[in-house]
Amino acid sequence: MSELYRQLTRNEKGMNDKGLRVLVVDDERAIRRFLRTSLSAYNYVVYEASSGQEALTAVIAHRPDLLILDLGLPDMDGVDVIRQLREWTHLPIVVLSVRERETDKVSALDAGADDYLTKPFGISELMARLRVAVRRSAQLEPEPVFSLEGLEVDLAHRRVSSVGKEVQLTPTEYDLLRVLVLNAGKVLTHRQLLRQVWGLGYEDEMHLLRVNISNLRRKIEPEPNRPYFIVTEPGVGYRLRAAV
Amino acid sequence: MAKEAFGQLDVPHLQAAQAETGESKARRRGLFKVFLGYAPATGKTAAMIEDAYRRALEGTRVLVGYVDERGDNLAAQMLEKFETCPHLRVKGPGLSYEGLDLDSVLKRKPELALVDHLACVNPPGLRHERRYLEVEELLRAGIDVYTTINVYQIESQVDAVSFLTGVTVRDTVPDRLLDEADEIEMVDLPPQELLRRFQAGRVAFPAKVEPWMATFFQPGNLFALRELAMRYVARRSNALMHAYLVDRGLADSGHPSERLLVCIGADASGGRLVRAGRRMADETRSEWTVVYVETPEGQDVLQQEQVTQSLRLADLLGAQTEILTGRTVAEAIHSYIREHHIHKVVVGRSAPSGRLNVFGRALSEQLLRLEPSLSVYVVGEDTLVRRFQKPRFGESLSLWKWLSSLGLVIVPTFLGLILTPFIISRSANLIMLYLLVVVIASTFLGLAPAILTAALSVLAFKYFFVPPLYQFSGFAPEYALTFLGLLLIGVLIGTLVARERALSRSAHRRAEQMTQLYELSRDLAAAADMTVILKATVEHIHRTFRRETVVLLAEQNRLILSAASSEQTLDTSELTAAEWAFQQGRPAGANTGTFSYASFSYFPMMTSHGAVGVIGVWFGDRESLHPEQMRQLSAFVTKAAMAVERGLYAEQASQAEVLRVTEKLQTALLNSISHDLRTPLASITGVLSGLRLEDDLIDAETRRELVETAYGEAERLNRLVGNLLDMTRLEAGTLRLSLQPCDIEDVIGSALNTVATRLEGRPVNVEIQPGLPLVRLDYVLITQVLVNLLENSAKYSPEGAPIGVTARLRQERNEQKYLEVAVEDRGPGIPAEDLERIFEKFYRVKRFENVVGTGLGLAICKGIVEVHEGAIWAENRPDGGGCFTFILPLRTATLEKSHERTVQAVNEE
Repeated sequence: MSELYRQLTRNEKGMNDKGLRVLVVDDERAIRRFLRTSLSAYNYVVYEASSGQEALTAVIAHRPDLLILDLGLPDMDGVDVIRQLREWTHLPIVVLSVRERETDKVSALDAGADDYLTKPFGISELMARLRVAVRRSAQLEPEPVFSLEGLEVDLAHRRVSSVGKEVQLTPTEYDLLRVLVLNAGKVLTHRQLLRQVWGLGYEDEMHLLRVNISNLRRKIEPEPNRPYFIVTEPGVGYRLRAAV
Repeated sequence: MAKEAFGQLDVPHLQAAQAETGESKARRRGLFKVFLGYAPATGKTAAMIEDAYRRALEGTRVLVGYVDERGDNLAAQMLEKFETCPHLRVKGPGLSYEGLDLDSVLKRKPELALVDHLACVNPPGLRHERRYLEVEELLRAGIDVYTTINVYQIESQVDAVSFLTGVTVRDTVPDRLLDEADEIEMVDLPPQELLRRFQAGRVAFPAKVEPWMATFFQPGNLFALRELAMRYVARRSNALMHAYLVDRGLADSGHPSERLLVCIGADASGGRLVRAGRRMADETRSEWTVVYVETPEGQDVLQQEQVTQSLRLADLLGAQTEILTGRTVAEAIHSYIREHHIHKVVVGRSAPSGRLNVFGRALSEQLLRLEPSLSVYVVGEDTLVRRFQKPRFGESLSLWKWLSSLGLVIVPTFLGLILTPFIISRSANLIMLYLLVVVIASTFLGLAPAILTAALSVLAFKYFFVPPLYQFSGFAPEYALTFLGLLLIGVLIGTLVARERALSRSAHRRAEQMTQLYELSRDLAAAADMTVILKATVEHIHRTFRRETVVLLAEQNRLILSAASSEQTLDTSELTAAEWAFQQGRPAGANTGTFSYASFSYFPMMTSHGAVGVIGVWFGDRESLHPEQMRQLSAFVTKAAMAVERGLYAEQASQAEVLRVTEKLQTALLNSISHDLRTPLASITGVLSGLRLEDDLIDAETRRELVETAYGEAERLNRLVGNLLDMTRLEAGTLRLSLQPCDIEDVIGSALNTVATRLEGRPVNVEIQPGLPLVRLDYVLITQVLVNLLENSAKYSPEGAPIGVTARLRQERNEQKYLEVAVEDRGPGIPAEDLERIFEKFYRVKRFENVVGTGLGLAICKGIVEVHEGAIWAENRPDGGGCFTFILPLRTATLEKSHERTVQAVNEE
């Protein structure tokens, strides 16, 4: 993993490193072709699968570093593919689907997908999401200090500062921010956030989340009514913006 | 018979008219043939079967509905050749009935049905009370019917039969039925032969033998009845021949104005007069009218009932009926016959009752005096009916009136006693005082108290003021004159006042009826939509007749209770009666003889296109309306039918309009989509083809520009498809709201993020009222609303112009709280005429045709806001630019809940 991480960091700088293996699962040939061309241009090694079963065997056969998964597969639902994979692997999975309904997104994310992108999509957006996903999965330990454009979260000392000024957070707000920081760049569904911050049994207490996110934003966002750091994924959850 | 003759002449026209008015209603009425006999067992049934057999041989499908086949064996054998409908058997306590199974016959739809005993009375519980009503229904269904009847069962023959045989037959059949018969065949058997058979025991009586029937089988009776039957048939054939001659132009069509007037009184002789009138009308082939004259004396309940009965009978026998009002019977009739050019009048021998016939002259004489050229037929007294008439004084009298007259006499007496010493010529003045009280009594108390007052006055005058005082003896003859004078004045004034009062009362009643009808017409004319029409109908009928009223309208061939004067639920028996009335186009239910057990009477609302529904009026008390009221009710029903028809047309028109608009929308959709989908596709295809071919010729900068263009167009295409999908979901009603307590600030932030690229270079001012509660809303959909509004503002205002977003709490007068969100721009604003229409699908403001769009964005906003039970509108800001505002209701319960939870969350920290 650390080797991978090294590769990745180099990759980010030079974008010329070969070797990251990505499995593209989609039943549409046009999409596979387009992804192969684009990803190859970014020096990914691309494998393809056109069905759920094919994908499951390909994951074992090729041991990819990353999986790009369509949900509407001819033989089984993409969400089931995620569930089956999650039984034995932490392989980063980015869902790429035409299903734009929030419930679809939530179920895929809750099943264990790392990110979700709806078609049509821009290739640069896809590359950014892929990078975040790979980096997060490669990360053995979180960096003690998260820092992004004026927001600094020192996890070791429980200190938060925005634009150089220290910010006082309630314990709940801090826990919330910590979970977001640990998953920076990844969309966390409402349920995931509630479970991780408040614990089991609080998954449906949406208002707790809303109130605390709102308070948190007021404290760390320069413009609380146009939030920058904590991004709302409408109907799905929240995501802390990650350094790309 | 003339009536029938004219009827026959009219048939082709009638049929043509029916064919014109509606194909569904153009169903042919069945041929109706009646086998008429003069007594039971004369072979009517056999003749009927024989005739039917002949028809069957010709290929007609004959069904035996109900035939009493006991008779000769030959007929019974023939009967076996026919399809037979099982008889309906009704068994009850003390009742065993076998009869026609009407529904079964209707279901089998034969070409000819045989139904014996037209005059039969059905047991309660059946649809129709009488067999002839069943036969009429068969005829209306287009089935030919053969039936049998005896002459004494015809309504108009009742008097003659009772005169000849001494038996009064009830359960008769109205002449109308025989008038409408296409053929009447007299079935004859010489009475001697009948008697021989009878004595030989070869006569089988019909199932129900009535005790009086045995007395029929006497030679005298049989001869008389036979003659009656023959005459009846002869008259009819005479009428037919006349009609034929008229048809060929061989005879004068007669004078349509040759009308017979029958004047009935308020007594039991009415029926007799009506039947006599019918016979005379038959003989002279004239139209006839039955009138009753309401005179100032008025009538009591009993008399009212008599009149009602007589007039109903007249209706049954095919007369026109009318109620006249006048000072005296003779005057009223005189003015009526003048107006209608009538030369023949039938009156009873006795003066119609209730009339104060001062001069003792019979009505016939009075009429002749007024109109010497008139022919007056006088019908003799009915010896069988004992008439009872209680003496009447016009007004109902109560004790207080008598006491008042006594009191009135005391006043001048008392005054006289006090004033006696001061009055010189006392007797004359005192008489004046008594005269005054007599006048008062006659004016205010009525005729009888006035007479009493006059008598008492004379007595008091004598007792107190005429010597010898304080005794009644020594009454000078000159005071007899005083008494007479007082009496005469009392009677005269009393009579005059009573007349005036009664006249004004009946005038008032008529005026009221006219007003009621006028008011209904007015309300109906003013009513635009169906609910108002129905409400007006129900209210007016309820108010006028003081009876519960319902209206049932046809919806997809089922009757739906559409309006009622009070909460009503109609059970199946009511609905069956209503359905029948609707389908047959005839009244049914209480008091109609059909479905009489229902508690409402149902009147079909007939229009030129058949029935549109029925009006039900409660008659659960089985009381019947006066014919005049009945006429008023049917006028109401007709008016209502016209209004309902108009309402239906209006509804159809509006539906057609909706369809037209939908069609227009679809065209617009196609145009819009084909244009909006093709335009971006054209750009993308163009760019891609350029990139593919001219790889080397395009420099990097141009290439980048081209790719940017294509990318932007692709995004636009994506948005369009998204919009169309959203709209489709909204339209299909499949949109499920996922209501969550949401922070509107967050929603606005998300929306602004989504449209960030399109708002680049514009200052966006967000103003959010501090302390807004969480609002239960669908986060994604409301974000979509804001995105659409923001995009719209960006599209229609110049580059760089600021856009404002505000959110605040708004409290309406009804205590309901709303979250109000507004998006405003500094563009040219919205043309006033478009403020409403701007939210319609595919509607786009004409002025901005250069701005691309589908006209869906705002429609989607409206759809989403409305499923949230909110509202959205557009307005122009006073200082320029447009402003779109939407409000979402805050439900207090959830508000408290979220508040409570917030507190909980804070405590936890």
